[in-house]
Amino acid sequence: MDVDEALRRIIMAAGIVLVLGGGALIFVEDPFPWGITVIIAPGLLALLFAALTVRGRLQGEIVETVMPDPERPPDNERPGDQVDRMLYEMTVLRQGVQENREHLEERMQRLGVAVVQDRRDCSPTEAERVLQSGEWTDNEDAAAFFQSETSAVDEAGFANALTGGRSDIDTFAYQFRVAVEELLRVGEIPAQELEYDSGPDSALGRILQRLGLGSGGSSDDEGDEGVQANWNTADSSIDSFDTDEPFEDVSLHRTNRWLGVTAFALFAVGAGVVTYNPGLMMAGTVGVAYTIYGRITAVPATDQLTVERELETEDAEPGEEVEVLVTVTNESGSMLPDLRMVDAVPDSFVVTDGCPRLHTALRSGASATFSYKVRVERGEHQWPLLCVARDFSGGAERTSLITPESKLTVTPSLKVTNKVPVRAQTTMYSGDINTRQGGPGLEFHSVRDYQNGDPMNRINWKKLAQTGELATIDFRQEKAATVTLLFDTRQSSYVAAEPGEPHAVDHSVHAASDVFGALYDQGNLVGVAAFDTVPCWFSAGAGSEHLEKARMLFAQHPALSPAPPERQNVEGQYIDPMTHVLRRLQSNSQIFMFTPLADDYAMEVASRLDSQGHLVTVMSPDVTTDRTVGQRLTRAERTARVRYLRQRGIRVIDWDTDEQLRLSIDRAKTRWA
Amino acid sequence: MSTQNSDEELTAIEVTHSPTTVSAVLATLAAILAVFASSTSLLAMGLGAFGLVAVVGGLFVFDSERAMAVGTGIVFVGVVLSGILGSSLPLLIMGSFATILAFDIGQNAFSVGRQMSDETETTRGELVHASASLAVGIVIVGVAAVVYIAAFEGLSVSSLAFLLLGAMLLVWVIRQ
Repeated sequence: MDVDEALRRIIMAAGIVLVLGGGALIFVEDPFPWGITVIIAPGLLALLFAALTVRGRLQGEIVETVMPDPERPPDNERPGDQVDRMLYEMTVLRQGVQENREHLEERMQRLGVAVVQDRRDCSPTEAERVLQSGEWTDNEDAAAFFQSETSAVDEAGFANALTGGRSDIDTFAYQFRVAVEELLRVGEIPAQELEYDSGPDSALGRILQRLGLGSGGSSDDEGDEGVQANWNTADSSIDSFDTDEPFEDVSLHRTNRWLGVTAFALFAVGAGVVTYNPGLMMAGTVGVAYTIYGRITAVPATDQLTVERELETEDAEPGEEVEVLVTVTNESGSMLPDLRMVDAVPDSFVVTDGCPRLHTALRSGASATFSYKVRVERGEHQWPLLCVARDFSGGAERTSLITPESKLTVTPSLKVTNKVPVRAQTTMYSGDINTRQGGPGLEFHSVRDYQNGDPMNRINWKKLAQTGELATIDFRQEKAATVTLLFDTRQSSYVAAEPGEPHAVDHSVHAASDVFGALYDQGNLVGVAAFDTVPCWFSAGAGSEHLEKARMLFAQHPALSPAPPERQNVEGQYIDPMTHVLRRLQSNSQIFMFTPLADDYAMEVASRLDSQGHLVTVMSPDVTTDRTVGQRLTRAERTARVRYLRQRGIRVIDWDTDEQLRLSIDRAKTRWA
Repeated sequence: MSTQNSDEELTAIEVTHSPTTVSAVLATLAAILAVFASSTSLLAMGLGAFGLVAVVGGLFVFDSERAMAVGTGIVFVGVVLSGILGSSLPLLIMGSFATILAFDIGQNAFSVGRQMSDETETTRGELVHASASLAVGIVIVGVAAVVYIAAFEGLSVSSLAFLLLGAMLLVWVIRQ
């Protein structure tokens, strides 16, 4: 700092001396008492400065706010990304080889055992033996993957890592790929043929981009390949879009965009001095003047900017299209010459029409509007307008967030479009589920002897008339069930097949709002719970107030939010997320569990609940795909989990999210029948 | 679910971040003007034309701000070269004025393109920026002309050099 300051003063002093000298020279008769070299030296200095400035400009000293692309859908993880990333780290970056290898081997071992067990109907130990011996397949490479499991790491691991480690890893990766394919084939798990030339490459590119190792170029090049995605905070230079105040200043900085012009000026003056050319020197003054223009700045008065956002409706349903009209008015006394505005539409929204941006200039008192349409997602939303204002020259840039008052509440309707099968475990409340017990009801069940106290309307009068004996008709009793909708909303469930598509939690909640309504209409007591780091519990109940509360819960509870819980890893302080649910769950409650079955934990929860006597129905949206090895492995694992659960007698609705839920339910029902 | 299936047809709109058209065209026009201003020397004009190709390529073909910036730099070198080879003062001033305009407006085309998108309504903002730069330039050229006519006779080349260099250094200091 001191050196900089000293340098500044020296340069400033030199500048003043030169100006004074120049002024003095006007009055001197003979301007060259010291020879021409004295003048050439500063000319060369100017050229040097020009070169330095050009370098600085080319190194990108321009500072400007990076705007998000809120039009785009959120960039959710794809199932299997983790595996692909691990493989990439191992084979390309050569990082964390040992850990990644162990992790992958462990997963493959579990999957292998599950597949072999399923095919051969044998015990786990037997399956392990078959896997180890290689009897399960004819493919030598695939068999070798499981056989080399212990030998490669333990025996040759260290030496290999030192000497031939490279080929060792490549062999591992190759065998891993082959083994995954072979398990898919042996396990008869549906997956399309892998196109090796296009598939892995594009996936690799995506992962590269995600790791920030992409070729640094414009992300637009990716355009023709799949859907582009966006996280408002990750893809912009704004740290947070959450703001409580109507106006918040994010930053005020110089853009340095006139740096190049300074270089022009220095170059022209330097060249003019060196070649002794007054015309060029005068031409240089144009550059000098523009540099000064870029330095003279007035902070744009964006705090006097009022923003009004008109929403077509303030109450919408998820998936609905809502039209938004934004009006910006300049109420400051001065002109705002350069306004760049982006409406920071929430991550879970997608802009379907129009454009949530505007670039304009506003005179004092003038206003401008822009409108767009968004597809909304559940929750209570209020979002800011990101406004970047520059002065005339663009030399200074002020970034602020302006949040209008309008609020958008999106709640699911809980309307019924499907009939949802409930199992025959019931409560003491009357309801819609036919039981085997006789009693009051509608459908004929049996006739029995009259007992004292039987209600008069159930006496079999015909029989009394015929024979004179009293008898009572029993009807089939209809009772209600207690059903708890249980959501798996851990980080691992926020996976989507494609960035444009809803993730598993969205699918779950959409389906659940449907299921909730259906179960409720059938007269059951329905509750909601989620296992997540944020506890979510809503006791089973009935009544319209209950229904309304459930609607708000679906819309607003943080555990069910469409945005993943803090996109970070929280495995450090691990608490079993099911703890709070188990503490409150009624022992006779049926469970409708919504989970993508993305890991073994979800499967364990289902089987644990089943062994505690709950009747469990797992509703599992299938978001797995089959384009990369990791995605294929994840699909195989999920299929193995579904099979395991079905073997244990747990009902699983394997929901192909491309088709309607009703079809999946029907298909699952034929299996149960 | 019936509602969901209809939702999936609602896909997100395209977002592209190429340089904005209005500014790109204006910048190109300014660059062409600068090349013409350096036409007193064939060598300088050839160099300028080469820079012009880089400017146009950067703006319209490769979306490369660097190509545009380097291109205007080359155009400017062409202008300076024509000055060294003996161009007249008005042409030199017009040349550097046009080059700087091309640089400023071209840079703005990229900046607006990045921060906004191709689908955004940007014309008004762009025009205001370009006309502000143009107006400032006209004032600068006017002042320069007045200074030239009024004082150039009295100024020796060396005093002019000293004055300019001093001003440069002061500007440099303020810039930091």
